[in-house]
Amino acid sequence: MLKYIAKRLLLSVPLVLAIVTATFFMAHLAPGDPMDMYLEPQRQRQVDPEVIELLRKKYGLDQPIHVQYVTWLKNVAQGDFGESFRHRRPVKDMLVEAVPYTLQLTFLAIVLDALFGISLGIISAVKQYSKLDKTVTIGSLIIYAMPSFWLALMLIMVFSVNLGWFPTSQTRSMNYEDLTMIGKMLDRAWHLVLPVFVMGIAGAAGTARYMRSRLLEVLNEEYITAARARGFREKTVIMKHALRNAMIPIVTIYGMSLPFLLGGATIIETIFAWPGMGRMTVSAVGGRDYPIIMATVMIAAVLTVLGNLLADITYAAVDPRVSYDAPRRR
Amino acid sequence: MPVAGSKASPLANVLLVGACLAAACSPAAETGALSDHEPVTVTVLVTDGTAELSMSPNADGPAKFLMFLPLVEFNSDGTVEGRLANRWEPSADFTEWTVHLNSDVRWHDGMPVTSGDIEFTVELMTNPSVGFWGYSGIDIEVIDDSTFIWRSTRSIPLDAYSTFYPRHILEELDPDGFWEWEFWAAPVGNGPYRYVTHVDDMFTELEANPDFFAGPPDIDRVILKYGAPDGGAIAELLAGNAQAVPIHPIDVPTLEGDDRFQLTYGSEYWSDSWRMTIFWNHRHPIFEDPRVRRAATLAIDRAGLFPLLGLPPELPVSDVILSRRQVDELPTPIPYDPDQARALLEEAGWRDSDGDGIREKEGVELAFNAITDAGASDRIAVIVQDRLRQVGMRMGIESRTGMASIWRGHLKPGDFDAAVFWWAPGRDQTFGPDSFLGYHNEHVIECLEAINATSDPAAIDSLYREMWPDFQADVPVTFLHPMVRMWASDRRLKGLSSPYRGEAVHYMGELWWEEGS
Repeated sequence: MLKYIAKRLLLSVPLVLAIVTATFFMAHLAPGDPMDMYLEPQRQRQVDPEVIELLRKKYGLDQPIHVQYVTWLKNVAQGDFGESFRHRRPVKDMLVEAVPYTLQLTFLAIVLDALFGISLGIISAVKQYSKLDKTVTIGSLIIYAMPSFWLALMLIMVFSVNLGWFPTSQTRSMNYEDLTMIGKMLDRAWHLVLPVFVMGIAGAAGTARYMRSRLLEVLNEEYITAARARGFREKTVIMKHALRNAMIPIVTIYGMSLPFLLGGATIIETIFAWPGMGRMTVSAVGGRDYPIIMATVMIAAVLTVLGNLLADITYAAVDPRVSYDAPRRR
Repeated sequence: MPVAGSKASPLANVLLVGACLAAACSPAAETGALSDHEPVTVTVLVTDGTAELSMSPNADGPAKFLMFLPLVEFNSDGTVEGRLANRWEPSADFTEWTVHLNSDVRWHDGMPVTSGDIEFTVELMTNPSVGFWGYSGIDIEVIDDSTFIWRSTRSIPLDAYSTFYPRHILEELDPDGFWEWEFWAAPVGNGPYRYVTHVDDMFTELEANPDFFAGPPDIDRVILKYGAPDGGAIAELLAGNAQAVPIHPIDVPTLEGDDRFQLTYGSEYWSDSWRMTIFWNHRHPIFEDPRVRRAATLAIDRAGLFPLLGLPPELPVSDVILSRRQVDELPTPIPYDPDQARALLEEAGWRDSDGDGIREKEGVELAFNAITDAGASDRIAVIVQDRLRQVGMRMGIESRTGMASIWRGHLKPGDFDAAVFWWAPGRDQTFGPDSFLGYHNEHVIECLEAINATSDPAAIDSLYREMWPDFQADVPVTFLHPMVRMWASDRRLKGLSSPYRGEAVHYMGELWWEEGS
């Protein structure tokens, strides 16, 4: 297994390199000039050409694209993602500030997704064809099909605007600094409710359906029939024998959600004015802020590759039939 | 903890305790103005992406407007009014301005604003480590503490936008670390509001400057809340979290008729500002004939577009470019007259000989493609398409993305038939000797060159007026509507009006709050 992991990690290096290389060239070759951001087209003709060239030189934009690429790679290898064109701050610092906000949302969303999704899936499968099952099936289908941005806006209108139960946006209240420690925690939690609910419930709907389907398959297996025949209680049959096997693909799916942790909240962060990586990336793409774009793409690529690896490792860990070690010669 | 003597379940007791804790620790409602006995606070939602304390020279964050005064500013009627400056005299060729500062303007730490601050700022901005382009070719000569000469290598108007910084605080700092100076995190300004606190991506809190030279503002506290664009702005207003928010025209029906709010707008229809425009490529065989351009303009009910687009009905229709001071004296525009449009096209030789509703001439259909900016001009392009169809012109729509790429890829090289687009390239690029439209009018070119050679407002007005007949005769472009920015605010916030004082942030120092109105 260790050899397998090492091999996969080694292979992931050229894969990540290929992804970021493709993104670098696509971003730079797309129409538009990052100087447009604060030198609007009509202004450029009024600005001294020397000043424009100074700015291009400062950001390395005067170099041929392949030179820009090599320079960027060298810097990234040293942990330097450069400086944001728009914000004039090191990208690394901006990422360090944004990542915790995104992790708050996505981690809690995954937890909510797992708790609700798996529970509802189990209940739905165990009580197949009951009213509860039909309600869960139809309900999860509706929620799964619902655009998350629409759901977010509707929840804001109902619970924030009309009922005033939750805040409309941001991560904390304005009088946050005046609150006690518990007050601060509750304030943060209060602001997390709606965005986490939107993200989590959408995922839970999909998980519930998948869990139900998987569990129903397992419950029809012969060893389950044998377990029942041996006189085990139904709860033991389901939770100990059936669930473990039904959970195998679910666990690997969650392993694959590693990239989601940092990249899956773009829409929700924008709607709730949440200062995470998603919102930062959207803003960077619109403003041709290449350093931020490249940094976030690289992070997403690395996490996707690691997520795949984690899913494979998890799969091997939970299913004893799966082994990545080379077969022993007899 | 369990309530004594109660038979409530443990869960109920836990919930009760939790509710008490939440109630004890929950934040105060984020409403703006408080009771009469408390300072008036107005929260303004900022959705343009400036979620930082943008004090640096290349940023135009709203906090900067409130904390720093420019030398002069355009007044609500387009005239220039002094802020830091109280008098200014140009040289004959407008390359020099002798400026006299208000002697009672002070920095928020009490030090006086002097000519030395102006000189220091310009020198700092032109330092290579800072690299701010706005002061290229500018030189400051200090005469005394309250008088200086602003000198340029070319004729310029007096600067109405720049922010100046306190020399006594910043002159010892190393320009190499300009962008990391702590000053940006806690700036000392000279405007009607002073800095209290800022949280990136959350809000900036400012308080009224009691020593402001023009008198302390009526609104005691301003909170700039950095929020989500689009639907989020309306939610903030309706929830009472903000008292002034920017809105889109499509939000108007939601708010119209709601007595709690007032709607205001700001519009700019002077020369270099943004108007939704149909650009005709004069090199195209169809549009080289001004009769066709005029006919197309006659076919479009421009005033009728406004309600369809959710724009204020009182916006003017215009065919000319003009300066800020001329917005109230626009010449009569080309009217909406489809019959006249048809007659003009007939006169130009375009007839519908095959009965398909589209005119032809010498075997060529009166058909063309118009490039649009997806999301910005698609909607209006569809309406224009329909109107042109009524008079026998077929307009196809090529929807593209990205203003800058449309400009560079199509308009600038002349690779287009027509374009429905925000007019942003500037008057010289549009109507000058190198017009990307292929438009050439010697008189217009002479006037534009004369405008560029002077900063005398009266001379500029006269030159614009001289060009109006040319624009009305040639119809080089068809202006559809000016860019309109709209805001919704609490009705109790007074002092706002359309179209010149629509934006709360910009005029906050002159607004006031009336409870019970």
